[in-house]
Amino acid sequence: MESLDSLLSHRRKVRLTQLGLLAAVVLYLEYITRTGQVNYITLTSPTAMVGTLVDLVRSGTIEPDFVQTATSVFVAFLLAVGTGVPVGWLLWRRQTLYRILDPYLVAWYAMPIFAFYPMLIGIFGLTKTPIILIAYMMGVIAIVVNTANGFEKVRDVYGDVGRSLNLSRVQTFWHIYFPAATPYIFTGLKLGFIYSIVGVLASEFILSDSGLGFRVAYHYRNFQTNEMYAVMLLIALIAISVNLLLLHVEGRLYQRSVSG
Amino acid sequence: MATESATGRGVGLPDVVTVGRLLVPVAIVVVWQLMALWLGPDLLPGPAATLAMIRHGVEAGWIVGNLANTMETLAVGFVIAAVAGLVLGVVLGLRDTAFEVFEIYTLSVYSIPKIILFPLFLFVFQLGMDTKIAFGAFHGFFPMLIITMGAIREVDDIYLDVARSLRLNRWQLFRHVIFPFVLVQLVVALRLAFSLTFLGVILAELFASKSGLGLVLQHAMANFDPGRIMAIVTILMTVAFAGNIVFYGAQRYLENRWNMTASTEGL
Repeated sequence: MESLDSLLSHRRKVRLTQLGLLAAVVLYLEYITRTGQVNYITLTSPTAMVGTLVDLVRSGTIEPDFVQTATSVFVAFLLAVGTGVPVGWLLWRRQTLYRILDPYLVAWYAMPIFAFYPMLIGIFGLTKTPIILIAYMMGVIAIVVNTANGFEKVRDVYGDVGRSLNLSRVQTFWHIYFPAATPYIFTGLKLGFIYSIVGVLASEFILSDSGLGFRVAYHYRNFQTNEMYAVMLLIALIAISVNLLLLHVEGRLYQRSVSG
Repeated sequence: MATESATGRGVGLPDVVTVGRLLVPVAIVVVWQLMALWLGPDLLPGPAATLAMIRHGVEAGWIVGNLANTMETLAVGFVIAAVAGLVLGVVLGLRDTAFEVFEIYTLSVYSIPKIILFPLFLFVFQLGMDTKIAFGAFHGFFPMLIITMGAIREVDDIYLDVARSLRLNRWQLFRHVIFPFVLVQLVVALRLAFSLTFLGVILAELFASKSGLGLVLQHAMANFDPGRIMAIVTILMTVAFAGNIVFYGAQRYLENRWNMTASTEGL
């Protein structure tokens, strides 16, 4: 058996290699931008990106766009959870319906949903509703599919336990099926949240007049390379941290469901 | 996702699932028609008007050439994404340490909304086919890589040990041990790579390009032309769906015929 010591040092080696790679890439970018090997309109140095980002945050210029984007993401996500989980549950209960819809659900990701934006503007006016709806439509399917999946993963024996304990249907659902399916549902929520972010940013990038996604496109069109990269960096950092946090929670949930 | 076989139902009677599946497009057209009546033709043209618009577009010449252009971009981008993702997925999937080091990077880059990186592609590839191909391939590459990598890590060590004791070379190991094991999962990966490459190409055409249906869509959106929007959206959705059906059919075939199980969790 491998000793705990060597296992720890292996993990440490992996972490160090990861950090080393990241540092190498950052230093390389710093080097080629500082020495003028690439045009400053094309690429700015990592230090300049961070510096500009700090300025944007300190001066508060980025705040309204951040609030705008974050609000849209959260509203879209909450709508997606509120409808996606019940629909996923329904599809699990109605297997025939699920099998009928299955090939259509899998094709969903390729749909250019944002093309409906002009019509949504026509219906809802120049509000944030169209963007929220687009993000909602992009996020909800992952939640539906993974919720249905999750309930399907619950072993029949659990249901038998519920019956032998004379639990009512509602009790069986809340005390047995729902907790057992939680990790899988969480996977759906994680994806739903990430796709909501993608939906909001893509809509803002192509068709909006505010929000972080709009900022990137705006600075690009105005040749404000520094600001553009700063906002890009901010979006990437937010997306990556959110993803890593959700992955961490997800890992915990699956671990608990295996050991418990 | 439902993994049980859809075969073996009553003989003679058309089975409910097949009939249901055929009825879904009908239901979509009905809902579309009702919404068109409710919202009015200026806001949402109905199915008949859209069909007429497509016919008109084909005659007027703004559909065929642009569609061919988009399809060509999609095909090249998809092949690049599939091959690169497959090769790198196999390489990383078979090496424990390399996998541990790179997993976090692949997942992280995958989670970034790729659209905001589009200006980078414009800087590198300029305005043209290359940008669209690269951006589409960039979208499709990560799901291909991540799913391939994950599938290969699922191959039981016992099989690899047996292969080693049989002294199989690298190609034989891949061909006879790994490939049959991961095949159905690769089909799932290809389907997702197709969908996302397609989305990437359309996004690239929408934001900045000189050709393609996405460009026509961008003009239609900017000029508020619901007729054209619905015509293009209908074509794009048909293409997306047709592509997905091919891979979905292949997945079902492998599952039913060869008893393979695809895992579509976490997609």
